Amino acid sequence: MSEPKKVDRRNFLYIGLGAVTLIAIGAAAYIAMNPPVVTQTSVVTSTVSTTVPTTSVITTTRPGAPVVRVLHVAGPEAEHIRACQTDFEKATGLTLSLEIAPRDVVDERMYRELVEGLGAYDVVMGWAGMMYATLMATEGYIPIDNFMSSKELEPFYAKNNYTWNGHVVGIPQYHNWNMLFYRKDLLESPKEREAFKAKYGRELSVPKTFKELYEVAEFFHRPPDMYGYLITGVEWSWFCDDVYFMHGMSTNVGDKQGNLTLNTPEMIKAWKYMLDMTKFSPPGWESMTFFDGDNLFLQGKLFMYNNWFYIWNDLRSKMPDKAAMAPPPGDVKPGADLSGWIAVIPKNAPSPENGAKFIKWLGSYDYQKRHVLEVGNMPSRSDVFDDPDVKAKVAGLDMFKAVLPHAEVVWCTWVPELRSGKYEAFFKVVKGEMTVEQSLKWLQETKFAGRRAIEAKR
Amino acid sequence: MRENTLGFLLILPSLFFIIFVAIYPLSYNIFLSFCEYNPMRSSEVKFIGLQNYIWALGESVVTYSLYITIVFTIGSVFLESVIGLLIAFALSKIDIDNKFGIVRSILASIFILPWAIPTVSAAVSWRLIYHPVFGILNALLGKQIMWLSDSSFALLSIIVADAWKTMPFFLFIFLAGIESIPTEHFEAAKIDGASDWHDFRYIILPQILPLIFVALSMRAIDAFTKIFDMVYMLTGGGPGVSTKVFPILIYDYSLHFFKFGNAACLAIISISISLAYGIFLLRRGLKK
Repeated sequence: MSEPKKVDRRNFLYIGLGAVTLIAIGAAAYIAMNPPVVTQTSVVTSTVSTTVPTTSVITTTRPGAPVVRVLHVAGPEAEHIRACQTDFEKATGLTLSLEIAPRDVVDERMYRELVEGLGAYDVVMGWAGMMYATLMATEGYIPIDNFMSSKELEPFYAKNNYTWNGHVVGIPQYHNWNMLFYRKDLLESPKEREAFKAKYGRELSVPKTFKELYEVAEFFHRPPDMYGYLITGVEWSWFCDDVYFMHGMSTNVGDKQGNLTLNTPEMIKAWKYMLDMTKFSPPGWESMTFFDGDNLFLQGKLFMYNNWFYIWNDLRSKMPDKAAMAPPPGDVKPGADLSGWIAVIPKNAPSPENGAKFIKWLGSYDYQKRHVLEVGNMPSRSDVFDDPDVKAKVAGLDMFKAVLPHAEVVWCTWVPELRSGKYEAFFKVVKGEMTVEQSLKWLQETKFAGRRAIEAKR
Repeated sequence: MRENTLGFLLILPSLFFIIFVAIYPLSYNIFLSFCEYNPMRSSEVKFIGLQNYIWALGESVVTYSLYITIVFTIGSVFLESVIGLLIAFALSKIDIDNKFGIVRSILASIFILPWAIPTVSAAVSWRLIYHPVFGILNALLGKQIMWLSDSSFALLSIIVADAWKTMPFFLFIFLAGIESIPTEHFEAAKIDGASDWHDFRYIILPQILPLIFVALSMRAIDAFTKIFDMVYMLTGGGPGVSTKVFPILIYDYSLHFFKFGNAACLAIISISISLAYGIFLLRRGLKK
């Protein structure tokens, strides 16, 4: 009689391990093929049609409704889209899946969509005016003029700034640019005007040129109670100041032929003016951003500064008798930098048609008007400027319209690297290691030797 | 044979994990460091030999960043280790068995707090401490020093903040080392009339020297390659490039400029330096 077969427990272990592995692989494959649909119940606060803000809980899930996946960047503009979600869904029959990324990581997300072709979003909108050329050069999008006729695109007045190889790339949610904010109560004070005239031999007025900006800032520079101007020192904020002075000299980092133009007489002048203005900036300006400028101005410690006009409504409401706005100064023209988050459809978008519907809605007259009235930016289409409600309710509209023709974008397809290099070079001058001329020459001929401002995709 | 097969199967998941998470990325990184890969301009990965390394040696921001990272590493590690050692020695003098034992436990709990606090939270707190107008440091000194905005002070400020954060690492390693020394040595020294300084110089230091070298080498590698969050939150690498440490430079080249060949080259340089540094310290320690 043979011995009973011993049960080998190791066999059970092998079978168990194998089963667990197979289950794990199967689950992963299932999830990859069937991504979960986000069920969203959102609290929406609407301030459009009522005088008192109302809050309602709206269930936005529509089983079976097609979804449009949008990537946006954190800020009031993204929150506004969220606030308009029900209107969008009613108008288009789509469900909006809006992902809002922090500013520090949105570059990577945009890159993954436009360059790697990740295919997670139908629309991406995370790059501002300075990055328009960089974005366009990726060529990782489907131009919006594939979905919109030239008649539909006609009202978009700044589309030259986002047209690449003859194609309109996308539609900006809005446009904004920088304006000069100053203390009108001090500027209009008879005592101050008299003292200014005695010192400078001319009437005290809102500065229009950089020389005037210098004189007015110097006059009102009374530390530690008040500082004359603010140049910000954190890299991304510093670049905004750099661009204001650059545009004010009617120069750019690249010319129309795509050559790099960093070491020009106009750029040298722009930097010299900017360097001079650091004298009137508060201590610690090197680690400040324009948000710090907002706080300093609201505290009454800053006489004037250049900033995006998102701050205008806030200043008007909190300092109605003190704050005023003027076109940004410039020796050749107002130094205004055109911006506005632009919506584009990535090439590998899961549903480009849904993306196009979203963008068409974003560029519609109704949404653009709502954005102007509720957020305070300017529309990206010209007809909204003539709307009676917009004319009645937007303070300073004529001033905005006067500056608009002068606003331009940075003409370079590798702005992050350029910005970092310019920042490095500027602080070489601040530390006294180089003069302005030496620094810009080093930038053009050594650091970025052989580079072009427009480096198209190979 | 069967046991060998079972053992191999059981470590297989860990092996796959290490291959996919560590070995493959490292190998690809080494390969990429010899290539030009800028996906914003071209999806082609073009082999260019040593050009990236030649660029790195000639690029002023790279050499400067290396320099300040080395200065930071030496400064921070030195400060942490000295302070950690002194506090460990002081704590070891408190007898845990008598009525002051509770004091030692409380102190030990307090000293571990910097290590436990997330670096980002610590950095935000240090920003407030260093604030030129509202910061407590300037209030105590009665001056207005631009700790984070003045390039003369910015790196020092970061070294101090980082040393505060990481000092507990040395403290508890040294404390464990001191406590592992047989008490008879101290008793014998006491009989011979040795002071605390003699205890420290002739008993503690020689016995924990290998421990010091191991801790220094580990921390040096850590400081050189992983100092990112504290610097990013305090200064972002500014003003200018005065605090642009190597990890931040690598981050800029990879995830801001999307020049992956250059970034890979910088990463390999960083790994090589920290590896050489760490091996040198370890070998010295083991020899002693």
